[in-house]
Amino acid sequence: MQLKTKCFCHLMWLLLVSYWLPLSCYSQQVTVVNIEQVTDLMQNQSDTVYVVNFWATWCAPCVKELPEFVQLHEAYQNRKVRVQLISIDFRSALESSLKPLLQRKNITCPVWLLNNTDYDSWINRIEESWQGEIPFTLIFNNQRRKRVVISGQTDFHHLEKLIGEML
Amino acid sequence: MDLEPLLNKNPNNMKAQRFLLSLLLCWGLATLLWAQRSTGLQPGDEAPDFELKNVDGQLVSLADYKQAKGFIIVFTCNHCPFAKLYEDRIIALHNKYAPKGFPVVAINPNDATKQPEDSFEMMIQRAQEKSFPYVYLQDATQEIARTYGAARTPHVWILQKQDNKLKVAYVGGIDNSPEDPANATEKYVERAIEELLAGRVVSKNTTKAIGCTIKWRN
Repeated sequence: MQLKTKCFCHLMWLLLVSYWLPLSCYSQQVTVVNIEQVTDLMQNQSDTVYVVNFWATWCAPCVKELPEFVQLHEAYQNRKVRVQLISIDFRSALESSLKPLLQRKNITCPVWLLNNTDYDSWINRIEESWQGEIPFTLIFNNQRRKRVVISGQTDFHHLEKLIGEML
Repeated sequence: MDLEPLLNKNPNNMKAQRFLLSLLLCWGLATLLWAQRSTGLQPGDEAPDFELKNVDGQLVSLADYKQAKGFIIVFTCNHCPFAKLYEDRIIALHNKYAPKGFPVVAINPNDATKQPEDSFEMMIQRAQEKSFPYVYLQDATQEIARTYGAARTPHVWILQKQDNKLKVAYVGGIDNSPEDPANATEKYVERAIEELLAGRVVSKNTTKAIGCTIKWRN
């Protein structure tokens, strides 16, 4: 009897998850943003760890590490962690490259497209030490005045370790 | 400050002192290394010459260019889509400014084991396909890229000869319109060279641009 209840619970759980997963997977939307929206995000003072990743569809190491951010987004959904992917693809690539890639790769976290290619006007506003190379990731908790940057490809375990130090 | 406790000969204290000293040394060394790594050559710095292999198999040094007034050093590569976007613009820069004394010297710093498309053989192929009018050198040890402080492709250094030395006049991007050269409202490299040719100081000597990370050897 007890075994049956257990099995039933597991089944219900699987059913729930199977309904919920596709929902979260296909609700992908890309928001086209300007640099002010990005700097606002960077200056957010709430007690939240922000993981902000600059990437583009044409950048192979960026695309390769996307699943790591998705994993992070899902693992920390109930914590004070926000993962924000910021694509610096051209606006003209939104429908032709960006959206198809996100769908193909099943990218479930929120994605912004920063519609500004006058890089010299904004790179220093994001991070002085950033030379413009991508992938580039910033992890910060402004309320605790903690901030680290990662130049180049990273992975879930490295990100998780850094987040752990800021939560 | 009272140094008495620090000079105490108690072996435990000596141990602590030695530990503190080594900690301080490590910290100093780390900051030094970090500073070297993060800054690279800035405007005003003297730039070192190098000897790197060109796609024609010959070794090339900046000293070989006896008539040059300076150089447009471009860290670039085969595979990076952003570097490709700028290829024709780099060719145009060379064709316009080599006759005026500022030739392009293109350097590929990427580790071919990490990015096979950037191997020496593929460099030769790309140079032939595009008929590069400039030298395309391989920085096989990545030492030049590290010395200059290259972080991405494309990444430009403009050097000017002054009293037989090479001075950095500009570091940064090529223009402010990667997608369409026709829409560029600022052509950083062109303006810097024009200013140098006119005997003026470069008004904007540092800019930042997007590019691919350099594929460093592990």
